[in-house]
Amino acid sequence: MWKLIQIELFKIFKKPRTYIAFAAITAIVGLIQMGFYADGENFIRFGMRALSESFEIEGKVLNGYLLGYIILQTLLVHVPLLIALVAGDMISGEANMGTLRLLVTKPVSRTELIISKFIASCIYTILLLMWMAVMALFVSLLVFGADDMIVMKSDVVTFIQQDDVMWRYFAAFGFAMLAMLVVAALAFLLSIFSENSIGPIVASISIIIVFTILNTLDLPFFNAIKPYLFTTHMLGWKGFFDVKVNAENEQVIGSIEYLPAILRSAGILFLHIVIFLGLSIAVFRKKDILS
Amino acid sequence: MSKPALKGCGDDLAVIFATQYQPFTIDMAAIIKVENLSKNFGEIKAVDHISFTVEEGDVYGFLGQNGAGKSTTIRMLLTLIQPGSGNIQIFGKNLSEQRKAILSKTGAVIEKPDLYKYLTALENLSLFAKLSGLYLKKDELMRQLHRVGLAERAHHKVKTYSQGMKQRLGIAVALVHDPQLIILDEPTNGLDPQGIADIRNLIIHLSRDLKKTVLVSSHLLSEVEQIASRMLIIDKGKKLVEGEVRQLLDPEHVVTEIGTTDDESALLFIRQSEWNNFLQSSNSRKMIFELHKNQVPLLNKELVDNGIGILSIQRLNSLEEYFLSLTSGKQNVEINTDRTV
Repeated sequence: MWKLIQIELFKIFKKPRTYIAFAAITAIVGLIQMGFYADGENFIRFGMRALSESFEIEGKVLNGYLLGYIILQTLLVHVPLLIALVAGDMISGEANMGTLRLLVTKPVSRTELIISKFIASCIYTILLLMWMAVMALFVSLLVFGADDMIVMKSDVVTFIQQDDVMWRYFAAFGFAMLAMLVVAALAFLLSIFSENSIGPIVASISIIIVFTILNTLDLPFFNAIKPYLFTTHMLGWKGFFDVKVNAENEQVIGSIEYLPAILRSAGILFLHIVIFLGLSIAVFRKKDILS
Repeated sequence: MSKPALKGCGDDLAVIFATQYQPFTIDMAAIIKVENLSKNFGEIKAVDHISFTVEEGDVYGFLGQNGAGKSTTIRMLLTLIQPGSGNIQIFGKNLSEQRKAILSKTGAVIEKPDLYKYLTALENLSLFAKLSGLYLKKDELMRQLHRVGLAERAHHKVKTYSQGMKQRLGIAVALVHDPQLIILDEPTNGLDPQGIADIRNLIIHLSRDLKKTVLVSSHLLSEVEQIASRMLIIDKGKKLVEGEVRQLLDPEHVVTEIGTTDDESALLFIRQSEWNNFLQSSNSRKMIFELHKNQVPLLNKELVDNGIGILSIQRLNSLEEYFLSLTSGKQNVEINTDRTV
């Protein structure tokens, strides 16, 4: 199996399109960092003006941790497209090139083939998220420095102590990887039904857009199905930045306020991956390769 | 395999059969054995109860016009398509049960040799060798590329290759793991005359010098005639004829159309006798046989002896012309699928 995964990774990283995603993340994150470097203080001052009227805020608010959060929040909406670009091409791209029939005539079982391709897609997804972490967090820390992190939500402002932040980022990126693996699994499944990669890429993104719109509509019918949509759970990574407070209204270092909800979301995402992969194997094992 | 008994036929016919039609012998191992293979795509019968056997060392021509069912059959042999029904045995093993073992000894080029265009020839060859379980050193890979005349372009990406070069690389990929059985689906499609000659010579070399068994499909009789030892012709998914190329293309082999006074009784008699082996097709008015010329009077005599009057006996043409008439769509007859020469 490892031999097959190596072959699939070799093919992925020999394709120019693979590097589009890395280049896009580098460019977008770089632009955001440049923007904040040039005019970030004003932006932060404007965003916190109501808070500044009541409180005196000390320290470096615009730091690498805050910028990492802003970038993560902005980019995770768009990263699915970059992931679908590769995962949606895994089978359909081979069918389009005509290499799928050659692959299937080799002494490798179809199940092994599909699992190795899926694992290779997962490795690509994980590498992309790691690159995003390096760019969004570590480069931001390098440029903007470190301090306590401020997380602004619609009704709450949370300050997280500097030495309590990094592990939350690791957990958040871990969760984001799981969420993005669902996207990879979905695009991968759709790629089995198509003989060109445009179809599965567009279909995957369309499904995510439709589900995201459903999430925003506060109607009883949609509310009933929301818990079952994977998009509902994809933003669960933000939960790692919700800190518990004790009876004295002090933060509990190393705590997560809604851990069961995060774990439930992670479980549902994992279930989606299992279902999508299971369907991929079942369909591909029976599929007639006519391309 | 014993020689077929000729029940219901005279001794003369038995002598002619024994001398003119040499049945393939039993000492050859069946590399491919296909029984009653069928595949439907919706309402369309792509392959309709085809049976054939490819013996060890054969260059087996698989002939039929475009859309006859050749590629579908080959794809079923290579597990690309699931058979609707029927049984495939390769190397004496059931394909559905021992797929990996069979495919590890099989190489294939399926129509166009589509390879990874963004990889070099060397990378493609190395990749497919690994998929067959072989980790070949660069020297060995280069040697294999040299064999198909691509050593100098080994480090160039496949997207820069001509169709002929891709075809040669496809063959190198098919042969990289030294398979015993090589399946080539229309390997000369899109090639110039020199490319076609190269492929032809390669197939002959594989069979004669390397003792490989080759199944090669084509829609050109002339192509199969030059390289194949045995062949099968199919049309509209049905087997028309199978046998030694030498015999099938023998000018003394004639396609004969017979009209009788009682076609129903005549067909019943033929179906119950060994003449059924020679019946190619039939319609409501006539029966078409493929016979040695000396068999024609014998068949005539047998029909008359059985009380069936003969209205007409007409020699149509050679097998080659018959095949050409098929490819030009002139036939409108029921095909006898049980026939083997």
